[in-house]
Amino acid sequence: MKKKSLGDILFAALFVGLLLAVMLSAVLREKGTVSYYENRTLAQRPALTAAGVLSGSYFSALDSYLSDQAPLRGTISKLSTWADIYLLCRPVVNNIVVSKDMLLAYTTFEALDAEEVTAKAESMADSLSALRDLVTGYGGYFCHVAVPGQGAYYSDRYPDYVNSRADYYAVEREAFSAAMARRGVDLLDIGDVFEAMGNPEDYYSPVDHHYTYYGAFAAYQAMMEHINETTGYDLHIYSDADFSFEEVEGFRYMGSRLRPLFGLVDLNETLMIGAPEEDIPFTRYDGGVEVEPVVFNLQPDSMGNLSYTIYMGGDIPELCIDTNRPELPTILIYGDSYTNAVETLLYTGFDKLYSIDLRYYYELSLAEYIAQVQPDIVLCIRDYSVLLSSEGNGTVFPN
Amino acid sequence: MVFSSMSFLFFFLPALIILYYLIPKRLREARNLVLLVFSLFFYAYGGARFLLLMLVSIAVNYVCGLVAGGKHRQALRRWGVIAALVVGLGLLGWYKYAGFFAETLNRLGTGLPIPQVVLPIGISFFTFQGLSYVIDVYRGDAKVQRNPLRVALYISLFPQLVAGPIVRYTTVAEEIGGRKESLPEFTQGAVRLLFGLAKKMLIANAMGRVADDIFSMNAATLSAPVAWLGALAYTAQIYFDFSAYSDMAIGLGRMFGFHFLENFEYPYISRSIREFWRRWHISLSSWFRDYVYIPLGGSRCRVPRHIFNLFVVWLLTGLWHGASWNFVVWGLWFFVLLLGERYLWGGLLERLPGAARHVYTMLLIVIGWVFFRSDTMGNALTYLGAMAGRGGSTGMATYYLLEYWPEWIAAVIACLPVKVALERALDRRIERPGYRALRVWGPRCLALVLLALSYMSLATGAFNPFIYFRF
Repeated sequence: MKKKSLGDILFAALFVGLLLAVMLSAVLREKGTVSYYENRTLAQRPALTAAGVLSGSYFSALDSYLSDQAPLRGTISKLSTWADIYLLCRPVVNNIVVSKDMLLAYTTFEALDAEEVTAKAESMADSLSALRDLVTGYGGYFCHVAVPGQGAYYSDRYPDYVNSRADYYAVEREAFSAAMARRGVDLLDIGDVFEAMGNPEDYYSPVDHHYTYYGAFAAYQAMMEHINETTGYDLHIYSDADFSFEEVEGFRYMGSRLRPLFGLVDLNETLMIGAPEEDIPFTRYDGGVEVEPVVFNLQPDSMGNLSYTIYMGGDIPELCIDTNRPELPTILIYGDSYTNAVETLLYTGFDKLYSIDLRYYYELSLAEYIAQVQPDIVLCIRDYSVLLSSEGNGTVFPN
Repeated sequence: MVFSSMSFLFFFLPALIILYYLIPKRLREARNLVLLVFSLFFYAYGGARFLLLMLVSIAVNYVCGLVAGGKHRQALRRWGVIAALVVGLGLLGWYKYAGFFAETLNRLGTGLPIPQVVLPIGISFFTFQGLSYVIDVYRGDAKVQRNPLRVALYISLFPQLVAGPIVRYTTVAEEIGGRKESLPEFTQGAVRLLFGLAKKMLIANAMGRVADDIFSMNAATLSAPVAWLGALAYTAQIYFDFSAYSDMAIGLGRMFGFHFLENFEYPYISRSIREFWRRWHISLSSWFRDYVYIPLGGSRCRVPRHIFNLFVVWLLTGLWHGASWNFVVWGLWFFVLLLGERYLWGGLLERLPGAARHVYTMLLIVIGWVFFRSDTMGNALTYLGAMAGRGGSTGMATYYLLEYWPEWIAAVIACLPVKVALERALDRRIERPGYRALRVWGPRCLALVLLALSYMSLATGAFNPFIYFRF
């Protein structure tokens, strides 16, 4: 048998000591509930049940809990991200395609099945056609607005070897446009509008998947022009002449592409807000409860940063902005987060602006809500990545 | 429970080490009892409902061992072996193969109901271990173990319980009753454990992500470079995943005084398929050799019989890995290659340069892994077609190279016997100043660094599968 040496004693002590240190730290330290940079809740200790033990699900949940609550997890994650970006120079870190002037979403490669895309487009157009009939049935007007996301807008900025989904978006837009046209459903593709303008660089964020406020403003103008042309309304459309932009200073914009990277990439974008020259007073109701009448929420988050949630306060399940101008039409907007920035502008043109986000609003179905409110105009705003999805805001008629 | 988890590394293991070594060395049975309890808990962690199956397996093998190895009539002793085989293989057959056979027979129009059976973790491993005990006792290679707790400990010992290596009873029989734990052994075991952990966390998992990504795509759309990358990634994943587990099992065993045999000997440096199977999953191939191939007659028979013996072994080897025709084809693929090397092109192979032989061997192994990994035979053939350039034009090969370049480099280096070469180089210079310290402390310091890196991966990653868990 080998004789033990000082080295053996030292190593064994260090090895067991490290294991015990992690164990004690895992047990004694305060547990977190949320991971800010991962933007998710952390697993909590699972409840011990006989069924869970027998099936093994308790232990599986326990493993998730221990991993999520591992000592120094946050610091290690940040260090690991830094190493991936700057030491190992990985092109994709934490599912973000990293370049020095742009952060884009990573998507695994998918073989494009044009027939499947066309079939989905037809199906979605059928649903929207039925919705259009519902709206026009009481004399309203329906328009679907398709908006490019950051990835679609900057698809040419992806490296050649990463999936930009450009081919998919091209097939999707063509199929959807054709399907909607065949059914006579009004479709406004903001991508066409931006392309005609030469895809201005400052319309989309380099650190977030949304447009900038300039991009949202251009989209708002295009929507209002389209509504006026189609409906005959003569709604006021703000321009640079009577609308002023303002930088939000003193805070870092923690965009959705920057956050998974712990803000370690030196890309800083200034968030913009704006206001019409002439103030339009309004009352705001979130979920039927009166709240502060603001469209911008400048409260920084727990880390002192701001994000796209400054627009309308983020994704609100249901809200109403009442400007008390009954001579103007009412509008209902439904869709994902791309609605938020344009809502800060659209409310100015209507008596009442209703907004629902079917991902979080469950009280009534969209059809029931429309039947109840009977808005003069119904606008659906969805981006290319979910254009054909029948989930969330694509659930026009549940079941 | 998996070795590469917070619960094992930082709760189970330190608790076991402390409790085990608090007990004085002279109280061997107490130490064994602690190991046994922890081993059963380890198994129950994946689902306590399967513990009963483990206990049944232990009980059956214990009783059959008493019968097979006792001073009874030969016929009775043989019945002990038969009973162990029937019960052990019967349970394995039901849990692992009932659905497969029912589906296969249904394709012939039988209309049998397909049982939905949940596969208990590690059943293939502990079944073979139990059978190894009974057969070794019957043959007289080992003495009957009258202490049921020792039989239980042998079958359920946690280091090799769920993913091997398959430890023969003769390997550990003496150590169960009279092993000598020591600090140097503990240290060496811990270093081995940490190297294995790093192989798993830092290389196998990353290669697994690449393989899973690519194999999840429609194989018909893959370009040749991407298809090759996927196959190579899986080739790396399965080796590093499985050998890592064996390293950890061997290391853990050593920490508690057990000396398991090596399970992998750098298989990807092989220059023939024959050599590959002397280096890959050694415990399984030797199990089949000793308990199936040689009893059937091995190679000491006429050619047709030899071919039949090889066919049986490789059919069973394929089936052991999984209840699917892919695995059967994978096993028979090696049957054909081994037959070819033995009777057809073996001589020609010997005369080729080493590099050519290595390329030949790796090509055939990678093709085999495509069968192993694919969901269906159809997918496997389509995938191989893509590797041959008959797929699509899916890009992204550059992405997988750039994204995982550290892991690709580490995988290539770690496939080679670099560690062995370094150790020899240091041993030759051991008298020179500094080299002795480097020889002793180099692996230990590296092991601690790898522990830190593995912990980083554990704390931040969610992708941590053990692919041999389904066996």
